[in-house]
Amino acid sequence: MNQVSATDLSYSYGAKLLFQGVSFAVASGELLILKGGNGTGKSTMLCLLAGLRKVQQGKIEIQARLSYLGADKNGLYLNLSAMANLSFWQALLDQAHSKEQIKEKLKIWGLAHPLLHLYPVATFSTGMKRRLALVRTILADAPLWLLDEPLLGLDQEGVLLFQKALTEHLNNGGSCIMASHDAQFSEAFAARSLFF
Amino acid sequence: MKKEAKQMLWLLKHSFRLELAEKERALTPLLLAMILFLLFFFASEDLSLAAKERAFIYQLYLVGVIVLQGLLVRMHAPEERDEAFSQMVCSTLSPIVWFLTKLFLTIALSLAVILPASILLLLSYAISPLAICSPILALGLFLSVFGLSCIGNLLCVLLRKSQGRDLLFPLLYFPLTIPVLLCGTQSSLAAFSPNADAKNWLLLLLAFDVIYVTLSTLLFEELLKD
Repeated sequence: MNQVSATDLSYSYGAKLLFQGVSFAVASGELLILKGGNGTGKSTMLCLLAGLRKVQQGKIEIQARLSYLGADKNGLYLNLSAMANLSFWQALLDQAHSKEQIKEKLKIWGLAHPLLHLYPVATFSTGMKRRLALVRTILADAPLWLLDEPLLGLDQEGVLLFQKALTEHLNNGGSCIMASHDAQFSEAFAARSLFF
Repeated sequence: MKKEAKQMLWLLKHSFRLELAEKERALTPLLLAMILFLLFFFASEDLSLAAKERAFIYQLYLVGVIVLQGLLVRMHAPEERDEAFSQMVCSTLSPIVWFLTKLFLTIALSLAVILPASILLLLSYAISPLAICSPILALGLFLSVFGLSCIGNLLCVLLRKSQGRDLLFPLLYFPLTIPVLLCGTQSSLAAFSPNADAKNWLLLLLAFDVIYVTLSTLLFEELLKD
């Protein structure tokens, strides 16, 4: 069953046409990688799918709850600690992970330093913020992930952790659409690609 | 409905925490209120009681407008700065819950400045502090704050991406405040003159509130998208 289907999508910024007549569908357990140069419309496509931009032409049908991660937007409150951030989204979106489960995830992702709860996210490095944003995406338990350059700022260990999490997500029937420039990553997953 | 109420309570608690984390956001309106209080205090010595009562009402509403403007112009700043705005938009959070939370937050924070300011003003003008308990004054003030908060929150979302937000917001907000302020002050003046008829002004104020609430609830969700 398709979790996302897009039909004949076109989008332009003023007079500049970004893409035209784009159609695709993504089923459960499937990964679609959006590829292309800078400014070709990959992020805009993800924004359209996430409902952050209005569709100008064409049709999008989404059958599953989604979790979105922007390229330059981690979606974290900088004044709050890692735990407070995750607890906020869990409580707000009525998700069922216990504090222990959140702590466990933070530990797996290398964010469980004993004093980490004392530091606001603003003091984190770029890679740590990205890791935390990915943990939030995973804990959202959404069947559909929309990820814009998820590997941005991650070290080798972070990339491996993400690969593992993504494999688990796809094996559990989830699907993912992501924009990425990483050729090795798409080869590792033998994923379907959409070129812009 | 239960889920929405829970979401709203949680978001409200979180928003208060974010507001309190930034001391200047609470301090700026408070300082502005104090400056207004001091300026008018020295000008009011020779006024008659009736003039003092009028001055009290006008000054109270002036404090209210300035406080609201200070709060509203950056109402979505924590979400914008912390990049959480898009997360909120594409989450399962209902836009109505989000709007109502921001509305309650604006009303609560503005009343937290307006109410102590009103007592200070009453004392400085040597008017009985019991005047604040007048139902007409309280109703007029609340309906005004409610209406101005509604339309202010809508404008804030409309201008959130705008480069000149700090300049555009007061320019667009100003004409929308005039009818509400006119009705609010005129109805509140009746608190000091028992023969005056406040009913029509309050009904007009209520009508503006209904218009602003309807506009806000209809347009808020649309304006969240780029």
